[in-house]
Amino acid sequence: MEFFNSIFNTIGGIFAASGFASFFVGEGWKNLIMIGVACFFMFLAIKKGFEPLLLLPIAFGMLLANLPGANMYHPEIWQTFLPDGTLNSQFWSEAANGYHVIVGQVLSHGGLLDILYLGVKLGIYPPLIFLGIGAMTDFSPLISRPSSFLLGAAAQLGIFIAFIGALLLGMSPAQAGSIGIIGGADGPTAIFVTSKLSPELLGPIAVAAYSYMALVPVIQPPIMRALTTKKERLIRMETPRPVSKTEKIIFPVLITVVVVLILPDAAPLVGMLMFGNLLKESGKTERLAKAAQNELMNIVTIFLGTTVGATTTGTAFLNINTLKIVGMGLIAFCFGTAGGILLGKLMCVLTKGKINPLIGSAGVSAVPMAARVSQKVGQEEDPGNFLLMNAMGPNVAGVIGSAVAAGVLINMLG
Amino acid sequence: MQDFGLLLLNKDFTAGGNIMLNVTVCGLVIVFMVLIVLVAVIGIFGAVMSKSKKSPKKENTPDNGRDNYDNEDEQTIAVITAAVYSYYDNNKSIKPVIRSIKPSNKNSGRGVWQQAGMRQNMQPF
Repeated sequence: MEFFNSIFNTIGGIFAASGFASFFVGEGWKNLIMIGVACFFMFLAIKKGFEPLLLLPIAFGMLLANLPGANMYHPEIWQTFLPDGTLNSQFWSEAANGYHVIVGQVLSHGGLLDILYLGVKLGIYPPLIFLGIGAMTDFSPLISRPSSFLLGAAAQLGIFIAFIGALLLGMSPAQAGSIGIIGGADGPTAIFVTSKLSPELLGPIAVAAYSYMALVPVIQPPIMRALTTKKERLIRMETPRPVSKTEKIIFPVLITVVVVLILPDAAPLVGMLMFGNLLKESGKTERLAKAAQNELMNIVTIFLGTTVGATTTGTAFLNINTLKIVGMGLIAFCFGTAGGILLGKLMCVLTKGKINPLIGSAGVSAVPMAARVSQKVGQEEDPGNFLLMNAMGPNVAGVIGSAVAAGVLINMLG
Repeated sequence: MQDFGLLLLNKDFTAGGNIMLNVTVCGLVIVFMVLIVLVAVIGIFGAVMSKSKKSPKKENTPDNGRDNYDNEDEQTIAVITAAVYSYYDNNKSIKPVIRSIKPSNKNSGRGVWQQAGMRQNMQPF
């Protein structure tokens, strides 16, 4: 009998120490739900093709972080304060300009995903992603029609409307700023701002931002149709003028100097975006441009996606704040689209019908999907109407606009 | 970090009462201000560039009574001429001579070839 008891005790002990048992202790059930969410995201990425390059790493990071005992990510490392309100002094130190994570401690005690998460925490990955985006982006439509910058600015309206909404829902100003930036429709920007202002919301905000970006073709068209008349949608625009190589080379330098001098907080994003673009346009650094837009971009995307996914542990994700973020994120997207369209209508009147207001909605970044939506909605009315190149102007202006808005929020709320 | 904000806003910016209005109004104003500055800078830059592009062209244009074609145009002319010759190939009584080639602006102002090119260019998107 003692023999059987010993066997049962051993098996019971192994089970109690396994990850399975952890699902039934305390808030362990939340991990189980998150594993389900991770599988759902993997399904969306693989089967439905929703932003698979990002959604798949995010989903797998989510899966790894929610497997009890895997010890790849430790949320407790990233909490500046302990539950009793004292400083988490093992991993955090206090300095004159705020609290800083002790990198050496993270390297000694953290798991793989904790170490990779340092790239998010220290604000390294988003600017590197911007470097790759810059190396892939053609700014010619914006150079040929500089007024597109205004549409890129108007589409940032959603950021500030969502900021107000989040404040009214009881979020702190820093959290509200992070939620608002979802309206910039730019994943790296949202992650950059959130990691600076309210890192505790990083997971839900990143997931909301990327989900809504994938849903741009669903969210935008009804708003575009509601705010424009058929006559406006039928407007054919002139093809943008050709842009010389010299202009393309000087443009990134000019933008960097002007934006960074006005708003230094936007330097990491705008600076790297424009550096990437200069690598592409110079014509002399083809290898570097290719490395930025392929290898570097892919590596950083894997690191960024898995670590952002890892922050969505059950306790961090399954709470009322996530619902507020999802709701406000949608409002941000809708108002951003509306802001761009309304300014497009104004520009249409001022130019006596030369600008199709549909290109305004492309002012939310989401390159090139938002521009593609403008093209698609325009062609529904007139199949011979080609708005894509005209919409690419506001679209890339939106990238710069959301980086500027990010700088403003970090400056005011950081 | 808040120096820039404090330059623009009153002293109780961080007090909390006005933060909603302050951040929203100042945020939108700053975003528009920065991008309006960029419109002006890029507009002036574009104007300067197109001026500097036009002026040397005028000086170098040889005026010999013929249209000027660069390499690309000559290729296009060769392709169009070959297409016209091949079209009349079966009819030996007609010997076409190409005297001028002008773009057609019928209907939409965008010909079939232009539309096809446009579609091809936009395919990656």
